[in-house]
Amino acid sequence: MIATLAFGAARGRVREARFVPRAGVPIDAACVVASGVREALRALLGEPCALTIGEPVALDGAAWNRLTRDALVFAVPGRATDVAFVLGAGDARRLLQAAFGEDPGGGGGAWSALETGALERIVARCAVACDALCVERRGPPMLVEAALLPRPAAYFDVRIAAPLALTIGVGVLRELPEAPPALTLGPAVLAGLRAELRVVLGRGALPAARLLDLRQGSVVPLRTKVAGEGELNLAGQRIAFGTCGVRNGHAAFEVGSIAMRGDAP
Amino acid sequence: MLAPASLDALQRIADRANDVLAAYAPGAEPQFGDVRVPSAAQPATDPLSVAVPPGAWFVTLDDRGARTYTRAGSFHIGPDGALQTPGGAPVLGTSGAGAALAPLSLPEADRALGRCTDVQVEADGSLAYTRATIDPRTRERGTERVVAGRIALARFPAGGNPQRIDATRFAAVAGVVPHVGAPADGTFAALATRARDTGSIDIDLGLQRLSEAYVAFAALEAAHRAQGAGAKTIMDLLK
Repeated sequence: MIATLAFGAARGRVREARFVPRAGVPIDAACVVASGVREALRALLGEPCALTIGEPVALDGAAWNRLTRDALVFAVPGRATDVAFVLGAGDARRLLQAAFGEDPGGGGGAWSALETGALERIVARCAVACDALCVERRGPPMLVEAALLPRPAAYFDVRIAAPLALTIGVGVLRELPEAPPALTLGPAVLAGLRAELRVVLGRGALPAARLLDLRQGSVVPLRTKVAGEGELNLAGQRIAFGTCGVRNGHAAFEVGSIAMRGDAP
Repeated sequence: MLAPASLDALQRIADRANDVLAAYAPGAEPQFGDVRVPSAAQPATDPLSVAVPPGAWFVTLDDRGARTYTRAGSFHIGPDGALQTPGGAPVLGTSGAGAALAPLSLPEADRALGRCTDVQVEADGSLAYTRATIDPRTRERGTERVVAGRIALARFPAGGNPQRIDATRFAAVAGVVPHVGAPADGTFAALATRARDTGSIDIDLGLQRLSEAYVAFAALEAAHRAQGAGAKTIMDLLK
């Protein structure tokens, strides 16, 4: 388990330090999901939406139970992970009232099929940006019993401040796979570039004293033949083994095998 | 079987002792007016400890859900996240303008996520805390102040002072409806923050009155003893 150092509430001038499990959700992915929620609510409510998010955390079972008590939980199936949207009952009621242009307040009691259907459609809009977590969504959000879901591996909350105050929790139900390597440039992009190649024709050994006495015109004895095996280097990295020689009247290097990327010469 | 006079004397000792025992309880009110002194606000380090203005009361609930009133403002957060008095009674307040009085508590979600830091009661009665935030546009981290609710205060009309339940808990007299508002709302003064109400019991006067109660009981006991001895002498003479 990866832990991170956290600090508790201040007691006088001292904060208690403790290690807590670290959530395996990249903050960038959480921000993308939050931006998706912002755009969905802006389109739904017709007003700009101001929101922030809380730091993703690793949850224990007790915390998950407390978060989902009296809340509506919508599960979004995905390839890399499933995602759960958690809406407190009061927040869900306010969101529906705002969506339908009703005055806030009142309501309560059991949810009708119409209300849950409308909430599922709202969550579906918010879930568009879930691909940042799921990689690929495999179905629409569905209202589910929280008890039927596994405890999330990570959780963060999207806090909407305007045009109405509400909080949407986002639970990542499975550990995300290791992050892929950073974006690399493909061959098509690099095809037009010119690279300077160097061939090592031979190798030898010198005493340090002789090395210090090297001058222009000094002769260095080699252990290998110049016309024998050589190495092809690019930017200080060995990229191929081969044979040095002459072809069609030009000094040339014939590639015998490609070296692994990153081999030191 | 003790005589009623002895029982009364013992009860007076117990009542006086209770006043003395409560002398250091925040916001305590004496049972007897002869040990009362004006209360004052002392500095405290606890950010949840506040002192109420003169004539004002915090509104709380008892075990049966009935409203009670107290001046004990050394609050704490209970295991359920509710703001509580030192005796564990939930403190009432409002969560927004026009909202009904209800027990104040920290939001369940923020408590479950461990996000409530620097919880404090502010001069206007706000139960506030700070939590960390991230702006999804800029990825910048920051903090924001969150107000969970605002403490309510009550004031009783002249002649309608509440009845004492114990040193720190009072109940409204039947038919008397207190005025309810909030600190610094124009009808009530602001709370003294990081402060502790010293209570209205003078410890020296209380000990003096307790000593006097003991002396009174001893005198009563001596009188009884003398009376018993006299009766025995008469019986001996009659025999």
